[in-house]
Amino acid sequence: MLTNVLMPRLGESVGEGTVSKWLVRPGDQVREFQPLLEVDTDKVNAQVPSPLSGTVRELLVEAGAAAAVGAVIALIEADIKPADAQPSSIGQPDVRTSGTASRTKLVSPAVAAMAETSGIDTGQVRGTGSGGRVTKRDMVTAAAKLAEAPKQASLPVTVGPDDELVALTRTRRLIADNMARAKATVPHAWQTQEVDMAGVVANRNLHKASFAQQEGFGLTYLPYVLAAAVAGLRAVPTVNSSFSDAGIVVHRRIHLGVAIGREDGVLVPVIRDADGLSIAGLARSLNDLTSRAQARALTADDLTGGTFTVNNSGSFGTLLSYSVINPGQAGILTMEAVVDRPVARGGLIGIRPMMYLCFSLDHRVLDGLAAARFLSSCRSWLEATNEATPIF
Amino acid sequence: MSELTIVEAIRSALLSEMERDERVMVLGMDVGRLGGVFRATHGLLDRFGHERVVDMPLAEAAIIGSSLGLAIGGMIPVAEIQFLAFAHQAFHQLGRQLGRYRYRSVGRFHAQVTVRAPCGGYVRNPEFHSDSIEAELAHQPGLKVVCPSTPFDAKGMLLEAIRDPDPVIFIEPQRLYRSFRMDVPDDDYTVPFGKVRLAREGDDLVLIAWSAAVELCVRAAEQLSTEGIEAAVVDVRSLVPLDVAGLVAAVRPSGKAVVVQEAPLTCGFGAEIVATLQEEAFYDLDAPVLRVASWDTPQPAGALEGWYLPSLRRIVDSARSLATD
Repeated sequence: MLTNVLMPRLGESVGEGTVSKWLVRPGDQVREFQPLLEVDTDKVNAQVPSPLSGTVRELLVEAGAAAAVGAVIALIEADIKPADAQPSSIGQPDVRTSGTASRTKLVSPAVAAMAETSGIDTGQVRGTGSGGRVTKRDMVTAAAKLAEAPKQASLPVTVGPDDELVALTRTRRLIADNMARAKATVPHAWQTQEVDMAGVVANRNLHKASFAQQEGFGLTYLPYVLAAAVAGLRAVPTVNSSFSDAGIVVHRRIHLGVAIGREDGVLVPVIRDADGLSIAGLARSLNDLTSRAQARALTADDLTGGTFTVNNSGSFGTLLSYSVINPGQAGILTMEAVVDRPVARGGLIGIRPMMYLCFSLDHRVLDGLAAARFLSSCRSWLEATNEATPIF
Repeated sequence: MSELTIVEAIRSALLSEMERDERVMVLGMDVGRLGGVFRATHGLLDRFGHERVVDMPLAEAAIIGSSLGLAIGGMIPVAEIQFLAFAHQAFHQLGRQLGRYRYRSVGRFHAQVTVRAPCGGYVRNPEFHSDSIEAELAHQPGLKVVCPSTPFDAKGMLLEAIRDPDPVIFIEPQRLYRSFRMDVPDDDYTVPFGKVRLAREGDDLVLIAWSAAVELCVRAAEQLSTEGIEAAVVDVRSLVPLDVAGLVAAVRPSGKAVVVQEAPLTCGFGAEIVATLQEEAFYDLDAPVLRVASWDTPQPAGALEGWYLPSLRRIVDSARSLATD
């Protein structure tokens, strides 16, 4: 902590003093009462003692300059223990520790006792004490968190001789916390519908070559599903909402999160106001976010503010997924692989490109009927798409 | 209920107890005609006469020795030592005689004596008038030592002291004698010894004090509060018997404590509290228990008291360093 050294009043009628000479320099260690500077007034010349023991951080008035009585003329950083709490005894060595030394491994009796009884590893607790020390309060906070979300506590796992312990990256840790929170706090339910993608496939085949030439990247099925999700959200607005104890917060604006897989984990960047974009516009936004995700160039703004999420695990070849809802949203829509399948239609069996649309929903917000309406709206939009559907 | 200062509360306790029990009497220097150097016994002489309100010579050993003899003879003396540090003149009578008499007589004689004495600094008294020697008295087995810091406790603890069958040293905070008033019941009531009083609540650390230092600690806590640090203040108020369980309970939540005493640091009663806390609450402590005390020098002349006694700044600095430790 910094302490101000003030220009003292050196006489009843004296309003300012001139620093005639500094006796210390920034960085110097000083003891309480050690002279810091010499001051001239029109009445007296005097030495100004240090108000405390510590390190001189800054001299704010140059030698030769005047300062008003009470003005701050220097800053001194106190030693970690105030000197006056420890009156000096003759022959007692100075054992004060530096204020900047790391104390992350230092454990007080109270913290050690709490670690023993609670099973909390002090190394996993963020220390707020001096030098990063874990304090008793930090342990109480950690224990309270643990008690609040008992399901989040992971079981102890022993690492055997044939096992390898892979340290958690920051991303992995965040995903772990988020997923554990989602599953612990959001009651998930799940539905799926099967979609005939023939119209979408035809539309994409029609535009694929020219699109790649014009835009410089390929047109995938995902922008179509994003557009379908927007249509579904517009038809059933409560899907675009957040649950809170005060009530269900329905979001008027549609910001679509899109799950993008990377080797070290999944990221969910957000396409803002997705309902204002054409299929091509969605494709461009998606391409921008995907390339920046791979280049690790996404910003915090890109990753926050989503009101709903679309997941594309079909690109990995999966047929059905039970995705975990992003906490704060009411559902997540997953598109699966588009697969040619024999389908019965009007008494005939034909080969059609089929896809499952999976929907995980927060059952506190949505019931089966609303969820089915939403999925049906998405499916209808996709099945109504044909070669004539404009993409720009 | 009346709004009383500490000195008025003491006078009210003496008056009501002398009316209630004719064995109760006061003796000391200037307690009669003058009414006490701080007017604590004002009016008692007129009311109860020379037999029960006795002016004594400037001879502290004689005051204490006479009190013991009177107690053995069946009276209940309340002796006044004009300033606590003058009790050194009576130390043999206090420690060897008064404190031991029940033990020495194998329980046959109780020494039912109360010794009142003002104590403490910040009033710019001359030499010897401010020394805080409570630890020296607490170190004498057989003596109870109490130090109230409010008018309510002053009356309730003085009545408790007078009725206690054993000798009680009743230390009065001279700085606070007339500094504030509070509601004090007109009725008879006692405040039992051996119970700490929570003077202020706070989650971040505990300031532990007794006598006038309690008031200083409350002010320090208010200043700390403006910085976002909430300090509890515990008024020990009874050094012997000591409320060990109460101290441990107060320190346990935060695990951080500063003991503030007006006496010089070395061998002060603060050391006893720190030692007790490390014995009884070691696994609840989150940081070293700190002490703020006067320096290990003689009490200086009045003008220098501010440099010598625990100041608001020293308490605040210590508490802050502990809160952020």
